[in-house]
Amino acid sequence: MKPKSLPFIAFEHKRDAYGFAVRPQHLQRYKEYAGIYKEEEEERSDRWKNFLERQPESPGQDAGDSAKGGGSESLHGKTAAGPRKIEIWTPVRPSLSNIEQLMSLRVEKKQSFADKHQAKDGAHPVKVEEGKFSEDSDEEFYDVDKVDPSQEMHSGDTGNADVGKRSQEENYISKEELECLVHGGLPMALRGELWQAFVGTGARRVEGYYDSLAEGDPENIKCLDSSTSEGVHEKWIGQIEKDLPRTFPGHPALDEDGRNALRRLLIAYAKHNPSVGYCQAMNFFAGLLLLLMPEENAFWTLVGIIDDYFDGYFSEEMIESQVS
Amino acid sequence: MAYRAEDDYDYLFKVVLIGDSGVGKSNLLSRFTRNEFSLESKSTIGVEFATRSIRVDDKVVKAQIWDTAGQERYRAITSAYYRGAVGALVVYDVTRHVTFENVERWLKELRDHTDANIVIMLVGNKADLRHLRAVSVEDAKGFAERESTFFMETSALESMNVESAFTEVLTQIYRVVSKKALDIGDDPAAPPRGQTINVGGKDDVSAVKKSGCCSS
Repeated sequence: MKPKSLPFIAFEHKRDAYGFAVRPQHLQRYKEYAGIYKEEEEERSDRWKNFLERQPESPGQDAGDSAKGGGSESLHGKTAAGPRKIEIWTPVRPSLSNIEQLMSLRVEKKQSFADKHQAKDGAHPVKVEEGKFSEDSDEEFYDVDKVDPSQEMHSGDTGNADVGKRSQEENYISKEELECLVHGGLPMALRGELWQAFVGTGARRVEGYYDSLAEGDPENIKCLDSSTSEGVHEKWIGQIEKDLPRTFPGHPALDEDGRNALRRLLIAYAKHNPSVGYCQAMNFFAGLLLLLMPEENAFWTLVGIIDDYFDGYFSEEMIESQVS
Repeated sequence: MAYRAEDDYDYLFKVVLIGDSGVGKSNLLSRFTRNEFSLESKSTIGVEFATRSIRVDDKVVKAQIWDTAGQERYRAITSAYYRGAVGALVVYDVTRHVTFENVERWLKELRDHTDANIVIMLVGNKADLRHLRAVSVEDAKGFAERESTFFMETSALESMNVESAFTEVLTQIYRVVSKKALDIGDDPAAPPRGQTINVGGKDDVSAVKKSGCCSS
């Protein structure tokens, strides 16, 4: 968590912490403030470290133990340019599991809803369904400790015992403190994992799903959803290809491997949610996520962002994005 | 008045840049307003805009140019930004015929959302890629004549005709506006009374200065 582990700090201030080139006209000022940025980043890291050390690590989350300590390095080692295949799923560090569980309640509700439809749908347990929940995420966040989780579940839904068990575990996260920490900013070394914890990436994940979407010939998208015409899919792919070189141009992480990962990610999302497919702007979301986390983690985080937080914004009608 | 503030202007005209994704709208804008061109540009999301003032006759005309996202579904939101536009550059890529074919739809979109007096120029960009040309000048010219639009081929990369294309559109708008002002016996420089001089006719975004360009 030391600032020296920031992936792009070695670029001597010609690039910012994310690896973006600092514009020449801002370079002088950026250098002047570099010391302050570093100091602030250290303060942020200390505050979060202190907070996370007070979090009890919940049992049953030991799958992530190996990531402990060296976790950030192993994650960020992968963001550096270099040969890369599909990056395997990496769970967030155990100290974040409380936040993740808290934020996952909304995901699990939805998941269990989707499970009910699984009998009909069969192929893809998390594939986007019509008529999904549209509760405001903030509301849910703040209400989460006030409501009885058993009431939160939908009638007739008794299949997912895991939901109840996890929900009943006491969460002692102080929301005021968490909110304060978030407002103060996320330290670079934790940012990718915190985003995942907040989106509930772990709870969204279905093993093997991303691999099945990402592998194979992109031209075969049409096989997955017969209701959409072939031309539409060609349009997605054409637009994605246009936007690949136009996503963070010049960024060192978006070399050939980086662009291949971005292509896989965007095509996988389009297959996952054909009602949205590909919409310009998702390239920037996905690209940013890839800077901060392994490819499959980026996929599930993107799913959370586009399916939930921006539901309706990127659909063909862009209904939520319209200004009146 | 000898002194004139740097950002002072007589007319403010809103102009929109539309056309398929990747035809070079953003580079046309950056070439005209900042004299910059980038081979490594980023996708435009939603709408971006920039301004530049030019001189027409003895008047300062400030162009407020709105650059839009090209992906088809964005039309649902970008059409809202056509409101009040008095000029438009409908851009296609001379090396990709499909972008020329789509001009018809862009024109319809534009005419559905703007005033009939809007000044439109058809712009064939990337004219520097001579060996890759897929749309002939004759075809484009013929189309422009049928659609009663102006026409020009440009290269944002070589800085060819970019200045002329924008200047032509702005000058034509100026002619329309000052003619209108004459028609109703008004001095275009005078503060408008009840009636706003506005070829857009739908709101005040493009209008003679001080007619409340920021009120909407």
